[in-house]
Amino acid sequence: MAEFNLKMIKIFFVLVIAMFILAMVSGMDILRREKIKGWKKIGMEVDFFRHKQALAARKSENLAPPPNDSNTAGSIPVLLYHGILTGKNWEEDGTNISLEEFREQMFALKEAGYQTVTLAEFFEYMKKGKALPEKSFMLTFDDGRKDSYYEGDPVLKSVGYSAVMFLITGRSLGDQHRGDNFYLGKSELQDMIKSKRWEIQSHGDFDHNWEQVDSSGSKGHFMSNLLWLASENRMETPGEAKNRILKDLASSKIKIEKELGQKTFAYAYPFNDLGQESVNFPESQQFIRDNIGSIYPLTFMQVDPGEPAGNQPDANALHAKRIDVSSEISPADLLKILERNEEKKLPYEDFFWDNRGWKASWGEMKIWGDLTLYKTEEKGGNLSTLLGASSWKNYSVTSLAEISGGNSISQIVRYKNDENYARCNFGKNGIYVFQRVGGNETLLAEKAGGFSILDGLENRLSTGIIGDRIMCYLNGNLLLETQISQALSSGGIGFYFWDESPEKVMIRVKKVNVSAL
Amino acid sequence: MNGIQTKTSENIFSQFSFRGALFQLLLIFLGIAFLFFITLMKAEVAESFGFEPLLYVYTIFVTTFQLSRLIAAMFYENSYRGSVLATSANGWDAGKNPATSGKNGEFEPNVTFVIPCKNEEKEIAEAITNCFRADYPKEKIEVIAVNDGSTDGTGEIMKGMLKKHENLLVIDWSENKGKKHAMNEGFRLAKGEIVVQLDSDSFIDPATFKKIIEPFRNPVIGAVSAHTDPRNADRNFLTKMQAAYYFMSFRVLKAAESSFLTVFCCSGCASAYRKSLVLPLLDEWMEETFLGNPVPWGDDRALTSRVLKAGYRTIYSNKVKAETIVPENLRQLINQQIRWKKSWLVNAFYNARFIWKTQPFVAFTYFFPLVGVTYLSPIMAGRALFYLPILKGIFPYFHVAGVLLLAAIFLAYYRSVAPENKYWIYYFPWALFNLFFLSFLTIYALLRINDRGWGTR
Repeated sequence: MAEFNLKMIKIFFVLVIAMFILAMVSGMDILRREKIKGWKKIGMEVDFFRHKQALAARKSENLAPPPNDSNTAGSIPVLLYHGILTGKNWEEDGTNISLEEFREQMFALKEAGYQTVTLAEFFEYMKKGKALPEKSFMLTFDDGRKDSYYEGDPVLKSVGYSAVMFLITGRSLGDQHRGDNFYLGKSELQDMIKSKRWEIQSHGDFDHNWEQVDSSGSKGHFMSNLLWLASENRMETPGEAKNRILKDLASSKIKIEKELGQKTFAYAYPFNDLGQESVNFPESQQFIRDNIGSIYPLTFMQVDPGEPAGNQPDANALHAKRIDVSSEISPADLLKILERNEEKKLPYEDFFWDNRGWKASWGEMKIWGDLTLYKTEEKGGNLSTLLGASSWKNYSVTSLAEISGGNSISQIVRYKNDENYARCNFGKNGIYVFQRVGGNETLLAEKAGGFSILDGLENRLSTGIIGDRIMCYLNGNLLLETQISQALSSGGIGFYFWDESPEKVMIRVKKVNVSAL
Repeated sequence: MNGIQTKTSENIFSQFSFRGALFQLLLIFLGIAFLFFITLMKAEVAESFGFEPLLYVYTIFVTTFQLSRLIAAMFYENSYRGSVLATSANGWDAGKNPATSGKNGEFEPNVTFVIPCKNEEKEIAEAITNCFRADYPKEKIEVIAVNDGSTDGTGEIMKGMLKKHENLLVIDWSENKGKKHAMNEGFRLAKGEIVVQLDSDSFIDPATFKKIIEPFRNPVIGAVSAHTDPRNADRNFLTKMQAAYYFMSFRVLKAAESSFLTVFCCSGCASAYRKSLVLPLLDEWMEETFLGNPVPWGDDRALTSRVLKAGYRTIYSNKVKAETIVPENLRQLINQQIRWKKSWLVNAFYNARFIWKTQPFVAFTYFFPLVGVTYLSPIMAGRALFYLPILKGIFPYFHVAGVLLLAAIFLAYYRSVAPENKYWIYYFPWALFNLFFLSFLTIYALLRINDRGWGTR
């Protein structure tokens, strides 16, 4: 009797404990991921209707006319987001965005007539110049965070947009890492693909990790450093590092293709590190540049909101540009950024009544009926250029400029970025042609002599560019002509000056005309 | 004999009653609801790091282990009646042997109290008298008082009492040999079949004394631990906390062990042993060493371990009320805790070697998991209380909340079995004291295991 009783107690005890473990494990599991998906899905539907209603309520406000389909886009901007946060206590962190701001931005884009393109369309456009309607843009998210999907998807659905998710596969796919309550898991990713609103591409497998890069424990990026091999107490050799980098790039692609059945050909650099942030392996930059194309024909880097952000067809381009958007950018600012980056058509005329895309890389710039350029430091200058002109090829630019203080002004042509452009320098002591290729400036031609650039007087400056031939005119007279590098085959316009004297320099450009040649 | 069997059978059926099961089920569901909160909190914590499989397994393991103690404790009454008393193979011939039978045929063997003491002149007279006051036939009670080299009047007081009590035996040692030697001597000289071992500052409530003898009628029972509460509980905050802690460790944790008839420590304050089985164990017990040195503390735990090793079962009885004096200042308490923890560590090694053979169920559902938890919990507490807050800036809200929640679940049961116990609320500060301080003493005890000193008492 006593033995039987003890046995019964043991059986009951084990049963109750099993119940507990079951309750806890399933409780954790429910919280951790998929089983709660059903509930979350309902929540997303509710959010979708909420967003839809909010969008309808705004409709009474001024709405842009639908874009004319016959007009094709001169460039395609790509927007980059990370997490979408709803917490009340969340503070702006320069990376993520609040749901409210995100929705406002999407609504603003929608109302301004913008429409998303798919990655395949973007790829065709970039590589083969496929025609896309104007006001096309592409939406991308990095990291594969749960919140970008659960909060973002209902908004995308309400405006009819699609997006590309660059996934850290090591945190979302594979045997050990199946997502968690922060990163998306496999079944969620499958749902995303099924909805047709999302495409999944690679943000690396483990290369979004910080790794130890020396014996003292300093950390560096996976992709751009030799790692410290603690088990062998030595540094990795360059050969090993290269193998590791290639393996990681490939394994990420394989995971997405195998587990999600999604063709993977695009890659976004983790930390936007293309090798330039290397601590101990600067060679990585060239290595990545040489090899990544064979795995990912399309890669993405980030640009600051002020930099030229439009992407134009270029079969040889290494990287497409993305604008990193966070809560710091208001919807109106975002529209301005896109508008200024919109490709401008020739002829172009600017009287500077409003800013149509001018930005100063350094120095200060003001648009108030003219374009006024200052230097901000005693020994300094100004570089101001026009966004959305990077596809201009053969043209002449004429401007009316007034110089107070300083010795010279340069008219920039074929501007690609701050490291690549050509300029005619009109100075009191002579006229010069400079070119800057890959950051190296060279003097190509000069014509010495006192010219009639006088303080306070309007001067008509012209620069013509056809093929690789550059011509500098002052007040209608051709003064200098030479050839520039083939590398500067297209690009926009701008102004430049440099002054090391303590005096104040102010240049006022009253009018700019650009006509095709 | 027939009559007894029928009676005990009824007891078993009454234990598996619908109402009882329903009540227990209700408690269990309450537990699950709490659990859900705990997991929710853990998940909340986990969100900022991503998923950590080790932490996940640890959380499930520890929470399950803690709750398993509560579940086991719920089976205590059932086990006491159904597994201890209801035995067809009685260890005594009811009515036939007058030495072990009472007037009405109940189990009533001779009993010997052994009271070792040193310098307890204020307490000893009362302690001895109290033994003779027990609700038990006077001619069946013997008391052996051991004066372990007292330097005060203890010896004289003992001898003075010889006149009054003919069944009192006084052993007077001029030098201090230690409690273990005194007990050894007591066991060897005892006439009674059951030896009740008492601390000089402990009392057994005379009215409940009979209950410590009752389980021995089952021949597999080797030792019974009485329920002990602090007598000086109202002294200060520390003693009030200990009152809650004592109640929890006896009525819940020991009771849980008792459900499987395997109590690992029959408290040194007040426990009874079957002499016939202890006598052959005494030599080995006296020579107990660990890492080559004798072990001066934890004689009670060591003796219990040996009873278990001999194949006997040990239980706890909530029906026998005993009282003891607990430390009133922090230093004494810490010293006592360190001794107890060292004794636990030493005996864990000893038990690990045989328990899986003699009690495989208990070994794998309780003993080995307990060893795991004991070593892991200070590590995890250190991680939550020091590593994360200092290095990652994450304050351990959830860890602390989890500990308090678990304490609350245990207290729900505590309150249900002893609504009259007024110290329960002090279990919360005790749980925090344990979390922030005592759990780390285990590590200290482990590091200082070769320091065989007694610490200041």
